[in-house]
Amino acid sequence: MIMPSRPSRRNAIAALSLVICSLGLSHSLLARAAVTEVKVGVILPLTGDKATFGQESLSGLKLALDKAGKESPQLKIQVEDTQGTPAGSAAAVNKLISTDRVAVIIGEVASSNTIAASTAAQSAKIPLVTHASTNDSITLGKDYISRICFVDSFQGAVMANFALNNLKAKTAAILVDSDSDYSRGLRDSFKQTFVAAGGVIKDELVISYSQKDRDFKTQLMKVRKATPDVVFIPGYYTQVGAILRQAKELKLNTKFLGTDGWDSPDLFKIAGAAAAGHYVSSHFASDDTDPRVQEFVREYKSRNKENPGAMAALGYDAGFFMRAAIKKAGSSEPSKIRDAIASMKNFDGITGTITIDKNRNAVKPAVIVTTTEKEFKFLTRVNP
Amino acid sequence: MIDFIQYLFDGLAVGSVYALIALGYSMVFGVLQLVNFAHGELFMVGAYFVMYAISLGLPWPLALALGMCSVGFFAVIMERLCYKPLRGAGKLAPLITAVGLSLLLQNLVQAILGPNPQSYPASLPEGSFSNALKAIFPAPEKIQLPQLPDGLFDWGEIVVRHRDLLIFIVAVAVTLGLELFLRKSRPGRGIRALALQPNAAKLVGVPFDFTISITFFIGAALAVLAGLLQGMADNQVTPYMGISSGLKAFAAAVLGGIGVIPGALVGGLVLGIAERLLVGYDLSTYKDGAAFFILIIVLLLRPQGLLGKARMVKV
Amino acid sequence: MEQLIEYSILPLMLFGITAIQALGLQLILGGAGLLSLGHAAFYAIGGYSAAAFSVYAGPALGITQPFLLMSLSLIAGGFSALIAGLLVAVPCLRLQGDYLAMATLGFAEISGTALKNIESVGGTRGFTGIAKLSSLAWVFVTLGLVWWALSRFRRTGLGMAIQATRDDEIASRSLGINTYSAKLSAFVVGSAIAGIAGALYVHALQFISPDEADFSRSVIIVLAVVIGGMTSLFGSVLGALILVAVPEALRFAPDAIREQRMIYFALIVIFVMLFSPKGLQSLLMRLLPRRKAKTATARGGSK
Repeated sequence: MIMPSRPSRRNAIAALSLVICSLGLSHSLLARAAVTEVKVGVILPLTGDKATFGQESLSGLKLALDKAGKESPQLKIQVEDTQGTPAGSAAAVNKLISTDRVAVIIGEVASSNTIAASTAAQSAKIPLVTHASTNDSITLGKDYISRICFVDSFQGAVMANFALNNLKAKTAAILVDSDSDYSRGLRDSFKQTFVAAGGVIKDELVISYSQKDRDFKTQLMKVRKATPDVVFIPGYYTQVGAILRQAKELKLNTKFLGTDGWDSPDLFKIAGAAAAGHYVSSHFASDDTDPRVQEFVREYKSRNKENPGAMAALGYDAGFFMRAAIKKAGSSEPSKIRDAIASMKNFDGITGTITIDKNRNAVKPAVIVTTTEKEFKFLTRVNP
Repeated sequence: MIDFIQYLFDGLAVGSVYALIALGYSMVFGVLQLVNFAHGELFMVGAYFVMYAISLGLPWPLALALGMCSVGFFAVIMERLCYKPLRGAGKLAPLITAVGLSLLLQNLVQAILGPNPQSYPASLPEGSFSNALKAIFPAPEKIQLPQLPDGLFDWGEIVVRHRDLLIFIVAVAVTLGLELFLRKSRPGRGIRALALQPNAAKLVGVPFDFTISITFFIGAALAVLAGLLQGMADNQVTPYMGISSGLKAFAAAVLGGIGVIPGALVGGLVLGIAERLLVGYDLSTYKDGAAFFILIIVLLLRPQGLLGKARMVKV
Repeated sequence: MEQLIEYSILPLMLFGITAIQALGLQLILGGAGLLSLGHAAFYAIGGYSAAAFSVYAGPALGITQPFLLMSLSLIAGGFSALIAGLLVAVPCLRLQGDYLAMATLGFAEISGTALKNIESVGGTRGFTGIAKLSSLAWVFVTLGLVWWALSRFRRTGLGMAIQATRDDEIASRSLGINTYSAKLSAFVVGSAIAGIAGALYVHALQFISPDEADFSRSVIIVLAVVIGGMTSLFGSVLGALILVAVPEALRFAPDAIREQRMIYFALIVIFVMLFSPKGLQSLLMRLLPRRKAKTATARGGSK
């Protein structure tokens, strides 16, 4: 069937005009919106296998903003779902920057996703603050990118020292998520600290898995044969839950060590009884006796009907931190907001007192929790 | 060598699940020369159905039977509404429709039940439907959830989980049962006749539409069984489990010989074991590509699959 | 007014890029009748190659001028997608319909896996740090050129041979048409066009990840082309428009509808296949009587 070209061209122009008109109409409505508030973009994994992180973060953030109420400056948030992937994060950031014209962005959670988002943010000169991504490379060389959580070189060392000093471990194995920058960074920092202090990690006991895996028997058998004192799994809860469960099934009775990627209520659902008896580094524990933490836990619980995890706490802190920074900046200009963020000192968050250092990372303590069959329990705090 | 044997055992369960799904692809392709792209989604829907049913307190055999019937009938309706009108419209149209159906089911489940993985005990999202169910069924805390056996065969160097062996035995039994059904029973022979020579079969009185419906029903029922087994083994269902396992199962069906029943079992096991071998020898990043790599090699070198017979296409 | 245009730039660019990709697929699917479920893989390969060129090769050769860099990256992208298309098509076109679909799908998955393992382009985390060389002008000029080229191609000997092969392979062969090379040409050119689209994409978003080669991306573009109307170039562009414009328009709709948009999309595809296989563009045609009369006389009754 041969189509004559002239009507096609006419149709093409018609189609294009339609698109421009409809986009223009909708956007011109937005353009008339008020200027007294600051537009803040939020990129989070609201769907996908890290969804609880995103949903919790958003709940915490919303709680903070609602608490701040009508007090100036008002943050108008535009939330985009990244689906928990690097591509989704890059696309979300692009939308927020070019279409929504936000002044600053909060997010993402997984380090790989934040890395993808930060290129666009950096080149568009829009400040991005991540509340939860811990991989060191995120802020390297990018002066618009900062974070309010600790970094993995700190976290890995914390767990390595805990293993050496508190658990008296001499040998270790590491199960690393090969799809994740976060996991790989932690593998390196844990290994470095552990080995430097005299611990032993054999090469073949650094074992990879993928976020798509559901069956970890093959990897666990290798660990079982070697019987290390501890097994470090710096991964995300969906896979970790399955790993713990299958480890128990294989009668693998060793201590497992985890990091903040474990911090989700779903961990217990997936792992069941196997979740109990492990040690995890994180940003926050809901049974921390600090009265401010308890107040937050109470308010969060009455709104969302469940205990807040680390992500909720970080989201909450991000909300108040951002307000404080914008107030300090005294303007909605991205470059001024960036400067204000970089100069924040001794911000009292519920995840600790936050001071931003010259690399735009947060210097603050880590919390170590233990696991029962149902929840995380506060054990100790480790200061930087 | 020991490692190799270990990986052989490790691949049994995952391969058996592929095999059960592959049977459905194989049968439908045999009678209609159609790759039912939506078959993987039947597996996924079945897994969800069974998980919710068991979480409500239904004993697992009942949950399984209900699931098989519901999803089976759904498959039959799907065929009548979407594939039947396109018979004779060439190969492209039903294929595209199947792809559309697959996408529809994935997104429906995602919209209604949420995109996040669900584990036992699974609870339905808030709504009038789940409230109605709560009125009929006992509270979730009181329910004793069935478990797959969690024992081990510990032979020192080699460890085999009881549940892996169980799933394998189920798959073998089902395959044998299906072969028997296709050889001895009347509808079964009708299916074989249709697959071999559709026109001759119609001439001798094989009820065309009815036989096709049975084929779809059985394929779907087997997929539901696979869904039960995988859901219990992994303690996880997601709206995307259909595409990932489904496509691999199709590769398994082609590998074993599409249209050949034992071929689905062989293909599934070979694929499952191949994946475990890759993980074991530290090549796990290539695991997902393996299925497709094998698929392409087979299609190029021996398109009829390991157990299939070469077919002459008459012009 | 300025703000309006600035807001719309990225979505418009994405529409143009998707339209180019759709046109490539139209040649394969509508033109040659081959169901390629791996089209996104060629798109991704083109994108990665173009990015690798502009990030590594270009600077190494001393090429920094944007126009030149972009042109060469486009060529690199299109060419590598062409080679990839050739590698897939030569063995797989011997297979019939459904098997070809599965083989192309298999190839897409394999290329995704391969890309995940190449560290120099970012592996699973994706390729970052790419310069923004694309612009609205680049995209629409390329779209115009591709559209024009394809519409002329349809009237050449090879173009007609491809369509004849689609309509009836056996009859075509009996007329002496080399159906294998007809199909091969369609597949390879279509894939190259996808590669060019990918090259434009990667320099617009400044990021690409192996997810772009995913099966689901290929499926969506096939569905878009089918909905728009796989038999015509306009139909494919219409499909691309729907694919990009609808989510954009829905950004202002309540959340519930947004989440459900894929459901409606899938339903429309099924509807189209059952009731209007030539796609929405044929429905549009029926609404415009003067066009119908014109095209009827122009075609003179042929299909």
